[in-house]
Amino acid sequence: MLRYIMRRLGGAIPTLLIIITFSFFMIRLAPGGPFARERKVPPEVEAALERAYHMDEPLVQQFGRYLWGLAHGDFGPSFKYKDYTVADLIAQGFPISLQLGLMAIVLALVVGMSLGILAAFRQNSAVDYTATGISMIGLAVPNFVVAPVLTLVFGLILKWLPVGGWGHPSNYVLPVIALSLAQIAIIARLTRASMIEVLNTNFVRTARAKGLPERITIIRHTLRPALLPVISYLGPGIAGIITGSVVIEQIFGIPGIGRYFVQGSLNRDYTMVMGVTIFYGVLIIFCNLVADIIYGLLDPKIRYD
Amino acid sequence: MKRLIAAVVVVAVVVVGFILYQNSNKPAEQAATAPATTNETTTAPAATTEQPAATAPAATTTQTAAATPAAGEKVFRRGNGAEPETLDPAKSTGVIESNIQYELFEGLTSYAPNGELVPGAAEKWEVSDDGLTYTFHLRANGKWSNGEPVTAADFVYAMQRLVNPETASDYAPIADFIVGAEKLRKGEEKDFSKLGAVAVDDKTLKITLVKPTPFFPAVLRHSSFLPVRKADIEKFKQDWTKPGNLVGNGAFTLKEWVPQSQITMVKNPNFYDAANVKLDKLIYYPTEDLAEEFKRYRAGELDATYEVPSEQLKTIMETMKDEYEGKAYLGTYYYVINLTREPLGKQKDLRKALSLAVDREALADQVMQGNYLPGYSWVPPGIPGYTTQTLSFKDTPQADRVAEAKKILEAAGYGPNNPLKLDILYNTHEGHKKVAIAVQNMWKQVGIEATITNQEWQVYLDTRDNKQYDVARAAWIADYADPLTFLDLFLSDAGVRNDAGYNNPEYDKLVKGSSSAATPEERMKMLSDAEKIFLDDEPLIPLMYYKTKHMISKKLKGWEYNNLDFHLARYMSVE
Amino acid sequence: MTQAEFTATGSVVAEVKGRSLWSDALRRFRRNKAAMASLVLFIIIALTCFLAPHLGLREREFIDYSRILSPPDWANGWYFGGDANGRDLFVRTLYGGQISLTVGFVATFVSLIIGVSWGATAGFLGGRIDGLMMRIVDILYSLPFIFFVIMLTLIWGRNILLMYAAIGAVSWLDMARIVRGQTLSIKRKEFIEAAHASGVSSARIIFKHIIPNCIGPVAVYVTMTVPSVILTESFISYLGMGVQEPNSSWGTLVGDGKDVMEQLPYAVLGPGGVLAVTLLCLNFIGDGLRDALDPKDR
Repeated sequence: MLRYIMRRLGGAIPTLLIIITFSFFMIRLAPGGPFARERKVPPEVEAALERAYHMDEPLVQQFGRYLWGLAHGDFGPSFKYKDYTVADLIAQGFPISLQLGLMAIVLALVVGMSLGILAAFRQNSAVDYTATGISMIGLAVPNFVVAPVLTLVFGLILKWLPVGGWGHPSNYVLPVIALSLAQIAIIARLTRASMIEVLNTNFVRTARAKGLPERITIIRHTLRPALLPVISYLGPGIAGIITGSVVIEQIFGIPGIGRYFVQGSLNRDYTMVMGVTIFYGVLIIFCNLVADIIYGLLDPKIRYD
Repeated sequence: MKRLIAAVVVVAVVVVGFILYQNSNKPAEQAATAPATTNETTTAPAATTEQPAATAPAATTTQTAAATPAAGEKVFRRGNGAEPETLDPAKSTGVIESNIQYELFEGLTSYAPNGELVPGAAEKWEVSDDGLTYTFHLRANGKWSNGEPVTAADFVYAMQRLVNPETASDYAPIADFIVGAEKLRKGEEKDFSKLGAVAVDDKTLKITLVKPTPFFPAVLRHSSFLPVRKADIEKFKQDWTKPGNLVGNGAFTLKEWVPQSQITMVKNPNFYDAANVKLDKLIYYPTEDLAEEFKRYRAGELDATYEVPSEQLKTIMETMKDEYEGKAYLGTYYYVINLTREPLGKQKDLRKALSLAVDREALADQVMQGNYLPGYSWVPPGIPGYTTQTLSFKDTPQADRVAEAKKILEAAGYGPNNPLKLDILYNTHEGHKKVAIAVQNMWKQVGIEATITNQEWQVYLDTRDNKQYDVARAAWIADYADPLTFLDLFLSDAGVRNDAGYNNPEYDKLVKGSSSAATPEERMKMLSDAEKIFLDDEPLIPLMYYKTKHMISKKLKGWEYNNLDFHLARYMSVE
Repeated sequence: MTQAEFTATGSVVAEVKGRSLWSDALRRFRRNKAAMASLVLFIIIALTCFLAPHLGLREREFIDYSRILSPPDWANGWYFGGDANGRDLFVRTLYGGQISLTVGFVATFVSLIIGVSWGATAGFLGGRIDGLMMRIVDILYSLPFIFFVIMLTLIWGRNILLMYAAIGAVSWLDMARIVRGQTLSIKRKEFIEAAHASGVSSARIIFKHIIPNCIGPVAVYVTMTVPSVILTESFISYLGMGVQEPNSSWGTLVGDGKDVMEQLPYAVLGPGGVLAVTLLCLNFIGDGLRDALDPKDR
């Protein structure tokens, strides 16, 4: 197992390098630059700005400079937020995004799996349709619509929860719900489908025929195999949450790094975009690794050497 | 089975571990609260009744938007648009940054609540007879927040830094009024002592101008001229604007800056007028989503907003009218025409037809729901001493205007079989979209086929700079309360700033000549005449004037309307 | 195997055709009420959207200032009321549907082609080529998808066609994985060996035997992809980078509507409702297809 992990981590490095190279050159392809303003910048000022940010050097040299900085943990200065370096901003925002994302995925897993299992056990009954119906909300309504509706109902009309900000546990409730809905839907369906499949297998039939109490049948025999597809889904699930967080953070005024990505792209804040991209890349690689490990722990057919 | 348990345990440990780590590890807030405790215990302000014990819960409540301030503490919570790009006065360009900077620093001159020019760090000044030399006398009791006195040398340093090309300041050209500034910022002159700003002694500053500029004290209010301390900048370099490092001479000091979340400022006990400052704390929030900002205001989480979404105006007028401030602001919203392109470039009549066909009242009142005022001139009204010009057809009813527009188009050979085609460019924004759609429709009524294109900000700026458009949405906000800030945009040698490509020697003569006018009245008349020439040439289509748009909580006192929309918290209080 | 039926008088009545697996599946699908109802509803919605110009409705660009944010007025044909510009929201919803549906299907089609070819080839060829191809998939998987789409949109401007391509180009990864998985498991089955032994060419095996057997999971995946593509498109449009004026999509309409939710709930309920119903229909159709094609999962 350890060797497997080492190998995976080793394989992640070329992946990261490709991500870095790709994003570096790609964002510079977009038209416009980081220094444009509606009040025109005098040419001397523009020249001075370019010098200050090393943008007057050939592209390859800039790239080398960036890699060197990365090796030292320096992501470069933010082009737009001049008082901060990208590392500062990411260090401040990432724990918050992480917190939000983790809560969302945990909620999605708990609620999604519960709904899915419930629906599978009462297949084609009213319970099944209701549970499936609830989970469908996440699939049918975009999260940037759900969020304002939630703030309207719970923040303004019922006045139970705050409308914006971050820091107090009551701030967490609405954004986490809005963010997790789409994933709840997908996880519920996955769980339901795989649970149904497992319930119809021979070994479950055998267990029941043997007279095992239903509870033991469920816990010992069906849960593990039913969970496998859900675990495999974790990687894309987290990617989905990252995507959703971009909008949710903006709507609720949460100081995470999701907003930096879109704004960075629109502002042509090159270093910011690259910093966030690399961060997300690392995160996704890591999550895939963890998901595969957990999968390996759960599935006796898989042996990692 | 054991492996299942193992897997669940692994996941649970990872998840719980992260959440615990996050909650225990808040170094920024903890470090910021340490100085806060000492600040608050050393202040002896007349108005507040807070106890030191109250600062402990205050530490956590700074993070929360929803929590109410600690008992007795007066806090002003303001929506401030977007995250500031920088707090360095020499490098910032926007109103968002200025709002914060005006709390932390004070320039030679400053703003009264109603916008009038009042002495700031300088308590009085004299002008020489030829109007070229100003002598400023700084206050004896002016101090920085660390207790050191404010000196003239600080202002000299700030101005030299502003024009230094290495600082790469976008707004350096605003200093061009001062002798030597233009050469220095272009790098043609390297000796900064040649700048016409000299510290005669610690409290006396002498500034020499290129030509007489009667509104110069008003120019000095601009955030680019705020003083900064050489010692701090040299010591902290890039980090000098961070809380704990930033030393300012304003009514408040910077306590905490959580990017994308909030900026917290507390009262500066060393401010010379601290006795009259009634607020203990300011919290400024970046509020980009206007609809959400409005919701937060309604929930009681904000005392003042940055803007007001136009869709909500009808509801506001019906239910919250006395909390809404919406008055004239020195800004013009217009469509600039690319004068280097055919056929609009050569045919003034066609441009006039375009202008005639627009129903500005409908735009301002219905499309924008009253969030703007109809605009018929380039320089907006409200500058004292200046006679606003208007387009010649302002008093003609809209139906007649449309008829005249149709006639002009026909005479030029356009008709249903040969419609005039053009493209309207605007940058991605809800409001601009609405205006473009409405104008497109209005032009359709007179037979013009317009397409609308939107580009995101950077690309849009590029397109305008390169003159690759037919008609583009544009806006200009005054830097200071004088018509020149609008009129000098279209001087033929204004370079890239004159993106219409306007060139009229008569106009140039009047605008440039105004600085040699004998009296202020004559000067204003020359500028007014210049604007008349400009409007008659129809180089652009003024559409609307901006309004200040804020929701102001009834609990907030001391916020007054002024047409530059700068409101300093030192005059305010909350109940 | 056909059977001839003899009636009492001895004449031959119509042959009873053998039932193929496809017709079995069709019957099962037909019996699934939810799926059938969804299919019908979806067709109605799609037809209404694409036939909108011929339905004698108000023009899309027609502006009536007095109708800004006005509630529905069935008497005068403003079924969803007026939007923030005074335009007929119902008409805009229909035209928006054209774009949303087109984006959904075209992008899914693109991702289908790329994904299936990639996955089947990798699975079938196996070995190092499979390893390499899947490695590339892994790398692409690690790039935040949103990054790609935003970058591509920025670079190529607001070309709708390119947007379909961009969304399709980043959605094929799952498809490839699924198809590869299926291919791997089918590859080992006896009938493939038999085909090999009979001398059938590899290409023919891929296209005649493997791909048809993948259709089950692929079809299900397609019906799950279309809604997610439509949601992605609405997300990008909400950020301001997708569909531009004067065109609209359900995403832009809902995004615009959420800001005026309180004044006019229909601004969200109208296009949002249609969007939600369409997506639900697609999901039910997908479920029905899956149930029909794979009876074990019933």
